[in-house]
Amino acid sequence: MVRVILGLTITAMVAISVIYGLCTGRASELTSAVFDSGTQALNLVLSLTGNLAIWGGIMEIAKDSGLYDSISKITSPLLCKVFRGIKKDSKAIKAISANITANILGLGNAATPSGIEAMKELEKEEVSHKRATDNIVIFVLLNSTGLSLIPTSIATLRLKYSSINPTGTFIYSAAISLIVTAAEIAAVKLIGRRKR
Amino acid sequence: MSISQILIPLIILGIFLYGFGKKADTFSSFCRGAKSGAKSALELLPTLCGLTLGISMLKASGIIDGLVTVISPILEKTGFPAECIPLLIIRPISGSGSLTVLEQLFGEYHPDSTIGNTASIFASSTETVLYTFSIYFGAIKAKKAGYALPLALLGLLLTAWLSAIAAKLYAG
Repeated sequence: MVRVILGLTITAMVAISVIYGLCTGRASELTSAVFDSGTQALNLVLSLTGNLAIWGGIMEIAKDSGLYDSISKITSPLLCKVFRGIKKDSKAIKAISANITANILGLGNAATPSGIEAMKELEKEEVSHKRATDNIVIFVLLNSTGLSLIPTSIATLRLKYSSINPTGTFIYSAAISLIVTAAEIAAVKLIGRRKR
Repeated sequence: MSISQILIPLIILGIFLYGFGKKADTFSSFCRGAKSGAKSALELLPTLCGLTLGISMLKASGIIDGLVTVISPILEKTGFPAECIPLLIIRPISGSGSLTVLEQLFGEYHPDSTIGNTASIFASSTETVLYTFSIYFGAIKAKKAGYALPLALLGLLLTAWLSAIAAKLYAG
């Protein structure tokens, strides 16, 4: 689905820019944009690679030394309050807390497998397979707000363009993630209650 | 020194000390993680090339500036800068696309400007909603997401509005 959307997006972007650009007489700008974009993309990847490597290395230490599991243990009782009817030491809660911990620490690679496992476990808890239940909806919503401690790539970009404080905005974004996630969970619970 | 500046050195110190205390093979772990981090960054290149092409062409055609002039007066009341609209549109679709837009915004307006801060806060407090939905709902049998997607997109708009407010607070 995403591939199709991306294909459509890029085609639309190119079509709109060529038509609009030619009508407003910007053919030379368009041509140089084409030849600039490859270098630009490569520069972006180069500046990201080093920092994503360093952050990935640090987080791997957290994972291997067991810090990751300890954090998961702290989060699971909290999660039981959010996901109703799921037992504290069930496989579902374990997968959910592994996923949330990975997201918070910015371990994207570790988040997806545990996320998929959590979806399957949550579905097992339910009898009907036709419609997503409240718990499944809440879990996907938790993964749709970017709750993360340190957004490495954004800090890298801010630094690249000489920000005085590359990490300065992160407390605000963490606070906003929390507020929006809480609002979304509250909305799901309200809708769920009205249906019953 | 602000909290945000102290936080990262402290987290890193904590992780290294914890690993050392648990007698873990810290350096091997670090190298393994660094390898996979570098690999995932390099794997971004093809997607980034495609999206950079589209976005640079849009920028060069002048249509973005045109749209910004039209939308600005409408958006002014919400406080969300019209220059960040491309980011708002691409954020739920693609992570590399938002990085590309973010880079262009930083290059043009500086990361510490109101536009730069709003964009940073918005980008770091949101996710690629459509990608997440397709992967997670693709993994289970329940195909009807119900009201989940509208709710997630509504949350995205709420985040955009809050980001604009937070950027003003941050500037003081």
